[in-house]
Amino acid sequence: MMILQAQDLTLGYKHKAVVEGFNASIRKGSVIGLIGPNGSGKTTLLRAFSGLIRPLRGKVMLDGQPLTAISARRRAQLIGWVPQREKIAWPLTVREVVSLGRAPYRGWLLPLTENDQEVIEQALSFTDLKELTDRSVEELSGGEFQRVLVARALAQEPRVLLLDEPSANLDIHYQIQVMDLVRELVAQRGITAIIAIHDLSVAARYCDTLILMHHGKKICSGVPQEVLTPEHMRKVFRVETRLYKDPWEHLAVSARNGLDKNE
Amino acid sequence: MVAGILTIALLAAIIVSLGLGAVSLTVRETISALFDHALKTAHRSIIWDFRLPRILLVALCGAALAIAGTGFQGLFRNPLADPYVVGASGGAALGATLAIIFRFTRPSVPIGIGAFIGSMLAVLVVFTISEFSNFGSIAGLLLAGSAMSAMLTAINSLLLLMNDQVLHGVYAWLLGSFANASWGQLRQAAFLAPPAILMIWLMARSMDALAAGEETAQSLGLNLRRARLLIVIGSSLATAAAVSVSGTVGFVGLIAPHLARSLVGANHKNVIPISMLMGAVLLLAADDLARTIMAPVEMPVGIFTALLGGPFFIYLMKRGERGS
Repeated sequence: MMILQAQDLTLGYKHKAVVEGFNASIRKGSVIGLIGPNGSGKTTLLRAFSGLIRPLRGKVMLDGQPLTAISARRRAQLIGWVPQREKIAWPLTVREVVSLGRAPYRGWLLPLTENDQEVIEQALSFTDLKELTDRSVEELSGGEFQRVLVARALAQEPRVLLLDEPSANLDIHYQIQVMDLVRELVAQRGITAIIAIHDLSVAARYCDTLILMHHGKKICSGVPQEVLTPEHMRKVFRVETRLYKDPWEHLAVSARNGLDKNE
Repeated sequence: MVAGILTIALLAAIIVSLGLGAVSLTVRETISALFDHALKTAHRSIIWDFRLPRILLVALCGAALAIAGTGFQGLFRNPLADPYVVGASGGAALGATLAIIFRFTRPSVPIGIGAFIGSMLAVLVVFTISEFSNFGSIAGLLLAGSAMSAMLTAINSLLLLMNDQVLHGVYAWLLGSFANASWGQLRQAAFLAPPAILMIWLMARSMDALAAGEETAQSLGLNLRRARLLIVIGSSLATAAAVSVSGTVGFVGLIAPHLARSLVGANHKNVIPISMLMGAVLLLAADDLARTIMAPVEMPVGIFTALLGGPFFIYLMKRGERGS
């Protein structure tokens, strides 16, 4: 079952295309990784999937409906967006920030219901934030704050979760924690996660499907073994790579600059 | 809890302020002059004809400035925003002056409306410039706001010079003063302030979402344009309510939301009522100083809010530097 489809998607700003002719069909309940060098169009694609930007050409279909035909509020019920970084202007508490995830259901005026509170509690406990609920978000560490952003998106009870480099600014402990969390969510709730990822080993380990982007075009997509081949990596990242199983049987990528002279 | 204490503080400030003046009254005298119909007329007249309209007007303007400050800070996501800094006060003053030139009467409703339109236009221009400036949001806002304020003040001064017989007495008003307070002025402010307060209060959750940035707010389903426009309208209306009767009184709108946030947290649902109470108490205290410190000469209240607010502004800038 396809939850999200991109058809001939061309994206950009002021007629300068950042992504061109992008096609993809994304299956429900999977973890999709968007990989590619800086500026290859990963974040722009995520923005388009979230409805934050309108395509110059082509369209995004969500559950068989064009995204542009869905109201902003309904869209916020279906799609949760976790930005790469966010600066919250005021010292709101963790619970207050996570509560904003209920706005798509309750609107901007009505008080939250008991059900809303329950969903918020669940999101908080799922992301292991129970102890921090009344803390100001300004006092949190990078990893804790990232979990707050995930929790807010969870409170939206979305069918699709979009994450932009969720682990890029985190210490390794929290990198793993956030990615484990995403996997767990997909497994337990049947939602679909689309993640822009910098780190190829993280992508290999956590994603069911990878989409490789280069200069705004899709190079290929498929399971990690098919995408992370030395040929693709050489072409896109200009590095020599090996794909291997690490001692814990996780798929991983090792890379170095320059040609392999010994082979 | 905080709201209760502040409400009591406000009531106490009102009673004390009512007693201050050329004829000073004790708390007991003030209360009996307020409520005892059989009292000798002198005290009753002092309270009812002169001091009560002024005190209520000061409290209402303080609340209105605080609401405007809360709205502008929420809109710009910037702790340094206030009606004065973003150009709203300057715009409102110019709009009011123009309304006076064309109508020759004050106080009256058209002056309030003139102030509202002037305020809103100034804010929209400043907002647009600061959005597209290359200086980052905080510096951009300060630059655009101060340029706009300087320009508006210059135009206003020019108008005053060219129409000096019509605008006799307006100049003192522009500096920020409640010396001419009357029941008529109170009616004028009371006509503009409540809808402004209601509008900003209804935008509380939207402003919480805006705190997380435009993209996040939109991804949560917020109609960004509509929300911003409503906040601009509400804050401009609140600014107009204050400026059209008291001229430009700076910094109350800056300080009140801050004190509120430090007392009850940043959730706008709480910040809004607390900052209104704060603004009312602050402005009452400043006005008491303005009336009494050099009595019988009265000082513009704007001087005292600026003396208090200037250092606060610098403190906030220092703190912002450390944070970023």
